[in-house]
Amino acid sequence: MKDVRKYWLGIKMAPALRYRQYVLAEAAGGPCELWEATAKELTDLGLSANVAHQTVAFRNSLDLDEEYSKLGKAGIRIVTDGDDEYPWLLKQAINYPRAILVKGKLQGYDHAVAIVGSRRATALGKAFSFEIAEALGQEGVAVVSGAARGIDTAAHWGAVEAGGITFGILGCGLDVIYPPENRKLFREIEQHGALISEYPPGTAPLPMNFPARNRIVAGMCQGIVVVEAGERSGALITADFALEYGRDVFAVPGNSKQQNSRGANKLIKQGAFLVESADDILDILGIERSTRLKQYNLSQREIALLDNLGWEAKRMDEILRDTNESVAIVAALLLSLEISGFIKKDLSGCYLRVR
Amino acid sequence: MLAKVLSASVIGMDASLIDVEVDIFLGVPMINIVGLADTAVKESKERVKSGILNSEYEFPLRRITVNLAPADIKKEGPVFDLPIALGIMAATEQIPQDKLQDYIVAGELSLTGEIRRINGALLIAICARNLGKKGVILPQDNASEAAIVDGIDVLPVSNLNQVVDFIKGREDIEPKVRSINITENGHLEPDFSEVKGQGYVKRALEVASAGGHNILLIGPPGSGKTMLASRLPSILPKLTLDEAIEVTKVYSVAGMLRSGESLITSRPFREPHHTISHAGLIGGGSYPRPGEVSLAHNGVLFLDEFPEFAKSVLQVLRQPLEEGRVTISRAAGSLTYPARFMLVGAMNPCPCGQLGDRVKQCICNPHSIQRYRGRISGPLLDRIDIHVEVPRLTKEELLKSQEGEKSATIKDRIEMTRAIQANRFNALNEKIKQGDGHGRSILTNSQMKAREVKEFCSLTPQASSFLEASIDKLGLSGRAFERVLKVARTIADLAGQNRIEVENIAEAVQYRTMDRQYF
Repeated sequence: MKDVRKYWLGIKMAPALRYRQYVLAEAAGGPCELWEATAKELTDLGLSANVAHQTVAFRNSLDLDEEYSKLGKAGIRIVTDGDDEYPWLLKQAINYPRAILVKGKLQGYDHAVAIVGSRRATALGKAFSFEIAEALGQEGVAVVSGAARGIDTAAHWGAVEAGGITFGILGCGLDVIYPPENRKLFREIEQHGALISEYPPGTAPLPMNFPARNRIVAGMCQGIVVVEAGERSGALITADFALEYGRDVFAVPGNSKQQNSRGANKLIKQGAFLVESADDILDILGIERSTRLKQYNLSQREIALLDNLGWEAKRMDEILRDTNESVAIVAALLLSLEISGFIKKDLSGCYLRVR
Repeated sequence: MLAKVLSASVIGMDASLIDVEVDIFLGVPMINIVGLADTAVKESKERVKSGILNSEYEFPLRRITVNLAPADIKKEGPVFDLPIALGIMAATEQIPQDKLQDYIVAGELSLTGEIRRINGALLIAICARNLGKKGVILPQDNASEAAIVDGIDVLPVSNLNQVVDFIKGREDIEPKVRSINITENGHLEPDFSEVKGQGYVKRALEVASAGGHNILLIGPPGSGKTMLASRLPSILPKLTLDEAIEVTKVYSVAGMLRSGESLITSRPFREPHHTISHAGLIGGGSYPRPGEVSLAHNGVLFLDEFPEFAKSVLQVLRQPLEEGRVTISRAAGSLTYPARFMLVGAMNPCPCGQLGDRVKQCICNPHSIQRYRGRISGPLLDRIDIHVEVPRLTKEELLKSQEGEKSATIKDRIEMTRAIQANRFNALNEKIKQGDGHGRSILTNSQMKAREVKEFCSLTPQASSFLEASIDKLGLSGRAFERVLKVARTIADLAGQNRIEVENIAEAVQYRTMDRQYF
């Protein structure tokens, strides 16, 4: 019995086969057959003579065994639809990828929800994304997202913080860290779940890869939550896929005057579930809530400061002005709240309540 | 006939005695100046000739040799004009020689015989005192600075005739009297109360000044970074007389004292542009001059657009930041200038400058922001204890905010805190003094090294576990640890506490913006 995984890698690497890989493999009778096909057989499959010759030349120049062992050394494995660990939800989607590359572990969850949204997210949007993901993570629901900037990153961090399961679906090779500032996040995702990609290592994050990536995001979950999305955001593409696959679509309403809320509000108008907290999602998906709620030991002053902070990102001097406390006290409270995970500080120096 | 006049040459932060010997003998009329003289010295023969003739004295049509001894010291600048002129007149017996031997003479001549100001007059006066001379003859414009020196007569002169009359005993010159008044001209200086809002930044600046910590201000353009930084000297403790003299010496050497200015009494504030070269920043040149770090000695060095400075230029800051002085080594020898300053850097939060602004949208991506911040190297960041964000205030905030505290009030608190620190390090400094003399004395918390941090910054178990938790949670780098402790020490001192409490640690951790992780 030949190891089909190796041939899938070859097919994914071959430029001419890549874009119709699943159709071609099926037509040829399997990945091994497709990989080992002669030029004649390839033309019979519908490739032009020129492309068929190029493909044969590519195959002869590639040391597939070598590439496959390199993959193993990088900690990446190929999971096919025949494997037990292949995500069962994804398999029910039309056009599901017959083979995916995985770094991490795929099992250990019963429910999965995707959280998607704008890369240029507002502080509030990121905080919301984080909050939902954390709550879902605590309930054992896997959080699926695209590991992009903004909403995606916040969602992954929320799940990681809760110690839950999270899957990052990439539009590039698993060895490419994009966006580059997420290096640490990627490590965390591998430990709390898996990084998944359809593309062989070394693939650059090309714009055309992302819509295809979005179909996997939609396919891997029972429902997707759109937190913040512009009118032409990629998050809406994901929502379309979700509808196509028969998954639930949730949207977090936003300020109607803001560009960033147009997409999510439009989804609500079209009938998406309106989400105000993670509870809404859990209710609709019929997920049992565990009784163990995290107990927090907050002091009176910490609670007062959180109330004061509200859900807006605030700068240190604004907090000082609104609380009328000394710098020393506010600094201490902020830091202890940050340590217990209630607030976060972003690059611009603003503090932001996340739960 | 041979004549000798005493003068002095400034090298680094010292002046050394130079004998100006003039010999006149028969031969083709010409002047020869020997003794490692630079162009300005060589050109002095033309000025001397015209100066003497236009003062209606005789210039000998003979062969004149001028020797500047010792011949192995480089001499520069026009300070030898006056001594050469006097030497020539003494050698031609137009004036007597004996009285000249009691004085050190320096000054530049104009063609009319007027005497112009020179650089380094204060150092020349100090040199005269150390050699036990009766006094110095200096240009009128330089007399005030030189008069700081006790125990010698500083004779201000404004033209060659006046000097000649004095030497011939026809006229007396009133020695310049020392006038030192370190007064506070408070209402003239910019004051902190003029800055609206920004309470948090002001607090950070107060902590920085109290402990002598270097500080980095991060804020969008127009948020008031420069305004805040330029007000720092107004809250720094008053200059002591010794410090004031040190500062004045540097400015004297650099020729940057205003005419008639005696002692610099306010702390310097230097603000070099980011295109500055190495030599401009730390000093140097073939005839070395003090650089900006030395001009900022005992004051504030403000580097606006910090990441825009050439990387290599920022690297040379490391020695002065560490040792409080710069050593410039040349083939001819090495010089040391003092450079103990408080570094204040200012930078934008991101390449476009709008990050965190309430009105304008930042167009940078997080990665380019991190790259921008990465331009400040780790070792340099290591020497900056406090980083603080300076937000841009909205119009409403500007209108609404009340006037802040006066600089004088803040200064009182800072002087108190400095006194606490002086007390703390007193015993230590005594020990260092009695030791081999190579130790460095500690004046402020920021100058503590690992050993002192261990001794003076002990934490309660509570504070210690809090610090550990925050380092862990915020992903602070290891180098932040010691910095946080030092700053926490200063914050505790400001509050008059003996022990470092949890709040002090927390505040200090909030000042480590640049080496933590972000959401």
